[in-house]
Amino acid sequence: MKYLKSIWADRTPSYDKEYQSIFDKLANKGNEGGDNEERAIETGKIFATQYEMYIYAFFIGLYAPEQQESTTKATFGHKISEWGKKNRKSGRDSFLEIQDFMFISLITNSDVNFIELERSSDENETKKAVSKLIDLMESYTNGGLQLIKDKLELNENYFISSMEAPLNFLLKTNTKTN
Amino acid sequence: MARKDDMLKAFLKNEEFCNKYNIAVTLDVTIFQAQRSDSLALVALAKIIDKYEDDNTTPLYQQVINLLNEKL
Amino acid sequence: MIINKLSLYNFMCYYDHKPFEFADGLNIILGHNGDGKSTIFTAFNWIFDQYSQLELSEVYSKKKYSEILENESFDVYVECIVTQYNEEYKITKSFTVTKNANNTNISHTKEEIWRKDLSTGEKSLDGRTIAKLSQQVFPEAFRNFSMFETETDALKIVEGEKLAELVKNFSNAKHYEKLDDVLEIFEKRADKQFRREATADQAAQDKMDDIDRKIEVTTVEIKNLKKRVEEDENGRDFYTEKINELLKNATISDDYKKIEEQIDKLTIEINKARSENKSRNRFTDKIFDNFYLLNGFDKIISAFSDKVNNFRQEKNRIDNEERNKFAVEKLQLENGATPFPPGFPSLDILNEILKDNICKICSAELEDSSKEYINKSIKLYEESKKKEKQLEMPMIFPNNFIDEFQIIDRTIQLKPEKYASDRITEEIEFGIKRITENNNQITENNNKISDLEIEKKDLLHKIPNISENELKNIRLKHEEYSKEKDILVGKIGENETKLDSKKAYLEELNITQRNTYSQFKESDFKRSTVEVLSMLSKIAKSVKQDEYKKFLEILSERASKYLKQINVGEITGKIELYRKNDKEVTYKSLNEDNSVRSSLEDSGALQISKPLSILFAIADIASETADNETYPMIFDAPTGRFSPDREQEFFKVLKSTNKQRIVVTLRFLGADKTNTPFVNKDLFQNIEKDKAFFIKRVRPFEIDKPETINTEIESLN
Repeated sequence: MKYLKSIWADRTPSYDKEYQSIFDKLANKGNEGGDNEERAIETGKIFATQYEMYIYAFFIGLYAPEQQESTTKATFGHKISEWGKKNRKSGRDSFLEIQDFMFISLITNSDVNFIELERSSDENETKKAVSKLIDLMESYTNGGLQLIKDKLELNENYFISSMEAPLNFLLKTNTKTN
Repeated sequence: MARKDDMLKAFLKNEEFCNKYNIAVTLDVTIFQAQRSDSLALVALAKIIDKYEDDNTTPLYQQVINLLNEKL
Repeated sequence: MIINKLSLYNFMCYYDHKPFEFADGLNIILGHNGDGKSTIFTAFNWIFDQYSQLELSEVYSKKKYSEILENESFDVYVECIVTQYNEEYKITKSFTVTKNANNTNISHTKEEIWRKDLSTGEKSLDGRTIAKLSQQVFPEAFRNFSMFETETDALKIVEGEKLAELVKNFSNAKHYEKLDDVLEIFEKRADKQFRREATADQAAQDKMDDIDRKIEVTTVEIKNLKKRVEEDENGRDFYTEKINELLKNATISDDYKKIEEQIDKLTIEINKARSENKSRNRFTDKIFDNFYLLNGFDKIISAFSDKVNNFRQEKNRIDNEERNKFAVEKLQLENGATPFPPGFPSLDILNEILKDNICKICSAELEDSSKEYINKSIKLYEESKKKEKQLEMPMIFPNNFIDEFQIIDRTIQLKPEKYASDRITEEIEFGIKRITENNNQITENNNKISDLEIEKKDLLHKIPNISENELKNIRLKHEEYSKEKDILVGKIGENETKLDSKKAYLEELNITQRNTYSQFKESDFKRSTVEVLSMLSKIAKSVKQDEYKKFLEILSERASKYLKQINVGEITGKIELYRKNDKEVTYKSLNEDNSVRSSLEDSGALQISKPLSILFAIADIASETADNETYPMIFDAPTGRFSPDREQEFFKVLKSTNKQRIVVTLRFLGADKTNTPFVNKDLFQNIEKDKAFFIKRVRPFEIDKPETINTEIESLN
């Protein structure tokens, strides 16, 4: 595997177990019936899939910015490369480009010495670098989850209060930093 | 009876009849008077009106026929 | 004739002796259905109608029967006291019921008439049968229109043949009927006799017979054609009326359809808006699918680009450096055999530089370190020439990650709109705007649709007798009716042409007959005799028709007057009676301007008061023709559809006729919680009347136990 991105995409990132309840509350599990908003709403959730929730939390943490280390890790068990594959049943677009964007943000914000990595022929070094990227990803995600958790503590129905609520929350996080 | 007089008058209103049989049209002619008229047709008519309600009209018929055939 | 009293003894529900003493004026009998109203009619019919058949076993009071012992008996009577001219008649019809051990014995009916001379007070037994007496006191012709029990009966009387009978009986035309018959017979007889006695050859006789036959046949054909034309004309008028109605409603129909079209259009718009909103509302999906996620990402992209560029530069730099280093090392290692690194001056020039002590490149005095370096290089070069050692450039960058980053960077830069904040913000705002616009349109359209639905309802109210379906199909119906009408009009035209030709033919035959007649040489029997009788017969017929027409005109006028009286305040139009054909008289409704009046405009009260008006008019005229002899009217007042005001008016009209009317009705009655009837005194006291009665079954009773049935009569004034 020569591409760093592929190596990264082959990992299964986790989140802090303390945020499991958020996932349970807001994200739909399983893919039966389609992975779109309609399905989510049918099951009383906001996000059609677990990884959507993860990606959302990641970006929240990225923009805020807010990072948090995991104490106990939990995962929904899917590699990044499997998130939003092409030719999805529901007709939704594939998430491959979004994976690219996530990767870009991680490379940008990571303190990994890529020059050194470039010069290292030790595969372990590569692995370690990718692990650092994953750590960074997880910490952003946890950060986002924390912000979401804070919001829910203020108003437990915030995210279901309107169709635009999740979008608004995302946009507000942006404007805060801007 | 006044009714029969009225019936007679109804016939006398017919101009064609009066003209053809030379009947002078008067307003107050009764059955009784009409039977003495010069006009045979009028006499015949008066007789018929007088007696048409009889159960058997054959005698009336004979009278009328004889009257008309003899004198016309 | 006046009915003074009706007494019922153990007759049907009237247990024991129950009398009605009537006034010579308006008598009202109040009673609920089943309490004994019908029985009154049954009793009158039993007395006056010789053809009335009663099953006697069903007609005696079961209550009375239940009270007697075995071998006991009781009498059942209907007794009616009437006054006509100066005489009073007590008419009794009765039978006896005996309770035997195993059966019930019912005797034959007995009749008895007692006559009292009112001037002398003398009483005597009248030997006539009741049937015979009825012909005098209450003849059938009068009874036929004077007594009717239900609304349906009233309507039946003023229909077709029945009405024609009435007209015949009461107009002067009836006299002319008989006279006409007699004259016709005389004419025919005279004609026959003339022909018999006149001498004529066989040819003339045969011709005469032939013409007679042809005249008969043609006359029948003309009659049939006339009938057919009349039927078709009725049909045509029917369709004309319907078409006019439709045309009236056609504009409403068009308007109705237009409104429906508008509603459909608005609904389509609503559905489009809803559908668009459904997709636009998927904000959460769009976070990902439309890359709203990348709002603000452009900073990261530029940071990434910068970082990658730095990596690139650094990588290049290092690459160069290493290559240089390697080259030098290689030179060193390869003991002079190493060629000078690229860009390095050649050996000769180096020696020259040493000799001149000037750097050829920068034209400066050679420094000691450089001097040393050059010497070392020369030395190495010379040494390497001795050894043959090849060296490989070691891999500087085993990984190509930075190239990968660069490719990613370049690829991303190709589609800047994906993460452009402007694009994202604009798109989101536009989406929200569209959603609001659509919602507004949906609300607006729904309001418009509500208003249009109200308009639709209003239209339907304008024509309450037509259903929505019929309204929509008006144009279709119009075509249908027009087609049917045209067919009939065509037939009428055809038949009228045929009729004309047949009439012309008949004329010809008559002329031929006259001519042939003149060939008969008269004997004693003069032709002129026949002519006189023929003319008289013709005149009698036309006078008869005139009398009918006169009578019907008078009747129509009177009926129209009654109609207006009963329906004060309503536009009633008028009634016109006419002879439909030889056997039937009927009536039509006209507006004041003599145009045909559609019955659809009439209220229920108006509709039933038409036959009633005709009956009242007949009663008037009948009494006038019968030397002012009047007969009572006995009927069930069909005022069910009348408003209270109109009902009052109706009874006022009855009272104003100043003739005896016995009216039965269940109006003005209420029933309490136990279903016991009572008189609604407030309503009833406003009705002008001469006498009133209230009949009701004695409580308690059980409907399936006839022995508990006993109707009592309460006099109300």
